[in-house]
Order: sequence, then structure tokens, then C-alpha cells
Amino acid sequence: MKINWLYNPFIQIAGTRSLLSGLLVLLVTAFLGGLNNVHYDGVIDIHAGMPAPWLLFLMESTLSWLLFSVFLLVAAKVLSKSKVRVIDIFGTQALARYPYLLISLISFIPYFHFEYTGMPDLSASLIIFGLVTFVFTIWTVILMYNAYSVSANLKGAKAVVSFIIALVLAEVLFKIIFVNSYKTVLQYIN
Amino acid sequence: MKNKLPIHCPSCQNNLAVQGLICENCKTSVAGLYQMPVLLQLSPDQQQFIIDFVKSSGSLKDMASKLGLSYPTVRNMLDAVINDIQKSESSNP
Repeated sequence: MKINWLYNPFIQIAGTRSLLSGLLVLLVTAFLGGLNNVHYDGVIDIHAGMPAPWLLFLMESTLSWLLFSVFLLVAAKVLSKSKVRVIDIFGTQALARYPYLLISLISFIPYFHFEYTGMPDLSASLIIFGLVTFVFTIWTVILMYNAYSVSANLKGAKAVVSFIIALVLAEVLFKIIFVNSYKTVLQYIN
Repeated sequence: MKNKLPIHCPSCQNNLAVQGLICENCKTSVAGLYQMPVLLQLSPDQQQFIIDFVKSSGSLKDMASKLGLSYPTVRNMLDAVINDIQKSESSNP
């Protein structure tokens, strides 16, 4: 069996191993992102520049991961004929975010340090950072899809459509929850 | 080189049946029309998977550990075998 570590490590890693390594990825990504003000505020959202308490960075990463995993789990339970394990869905989805960890590392490059001014800034560095994060986001989505496909034993149109629906629903719900509770969360943290 | 047991007709892709058997010791041959057992209709990889599965006492976790694969990957392989067995059974009731 051909194993592609770059796009589908879940053929070899799932369950507890993926959950523990995935949680570590989430934690380190949020911590390093927090040092350089890189927010992972959505399932496939990356924004840089806005300073915030570190706990907020952690909450953004964790909430988006949890919401997306819950929607994927529901889809898998409904559509799959296999016995889907909760730990596989949640574990592989956490691990699938490892490209975000690389973005957090890239954001240490001084060229990619951004200050939030409230005004749109189209500097060359921001455009390059945007392109880099775009490529890494596509990579992450491929990983997330493969994680779902392996964990739920779903392929083809059924897998693609349910994955897209879960992604959209998680993204929308994340924004609703976060926009409504953003100030409260900040006040609580501060 | 070990010859592979043909499962499908090379001409029309239907399942093959057994027409002749021979005793390797005394060369007695038996001719007739026998259906291929379901397990022999599976691919050699799937047959090996079933052997490994039985040797692991039916534990997918042990199988995953031995094969160096994740649990859902091995479970998906088992589900594919089950699916193919059900297809064979329905095409040869």
C-alpha cells in the first residue's frame, strides 16, 4: 500500500496517536501564532496582525477543530456503513492541521511581521504571506479530507459533498459563536 | 514463479467455475462443474488479509500493529473484503 506522508499520513496514524500528536500540534500552533499575532480564526481562516491574549489564539484553534470534527462525525455516522470511531475523527482532524504549525513558524521571519492598523494594507510582504498561507491552506484541506475519508471509510461524491457541507457549517457556526462572544471572551481573559 | 489462480474469465470477465481437478500423487483426474468457493474468488491480497486476520484472533488492533497501519485503514480493508464477499454471494446464490 502506497503511503503518502505529505497528504495522507492517516493510513498509518489514527486513534490515540493522532489525537495526542494533533493536540500537541494545536497547542504549539496557537502558542507560536500568538507570539506573532497569527490567528487561526475559522476552519480554514488565517489572519495576521491583531494582537490578543494567548488564550484567545488557543480558543480559536480549539473551537474550529471541535466544531468541524463534530460536523464530520455526524456526517460519518449518517453516511458510513463502517463502525466510525470518535477518536479517529477528532484525532486525525487535529493532526491534519500540522501545515498551520509551519505557518506559525514562517511568521517568525521578520519580513512577515504585521501590525494591525485597521486599514487595508497591501504591502508586498502581506501579498506573499497571503500566497503562502493560501497554498498551506489548500494542503491542510487536502489533509482534512483524507483524514475524514480514512476515518469514516467514505469516498467519491458522498465523501466530497458531506465534507464541504460540514466545512461550511462549521465555518458559519464558528463565526456566529466567535463574533457574538469575542468581546466577552476578551473581557474574561483580560 | 507461482501461478495465480484465475478468478475472472479473460474474455467476458464473468466468474470462472472449476471444471477439472487432479491428484498430484496418482494423477487421477476428476471432471465436472464446480463453483469456485467464495474465498477463492477474492484477490490474493484479500485472501492473505483474511489469513492474517484469523491469525490475529480477529483483532483489528493487532492487525494494524503488525501491518504498521492505522486502525481505520485496517477496518476499511476488512469492510472492502466483506463487501466483495457479499457481492460474490449475491452473484452466486
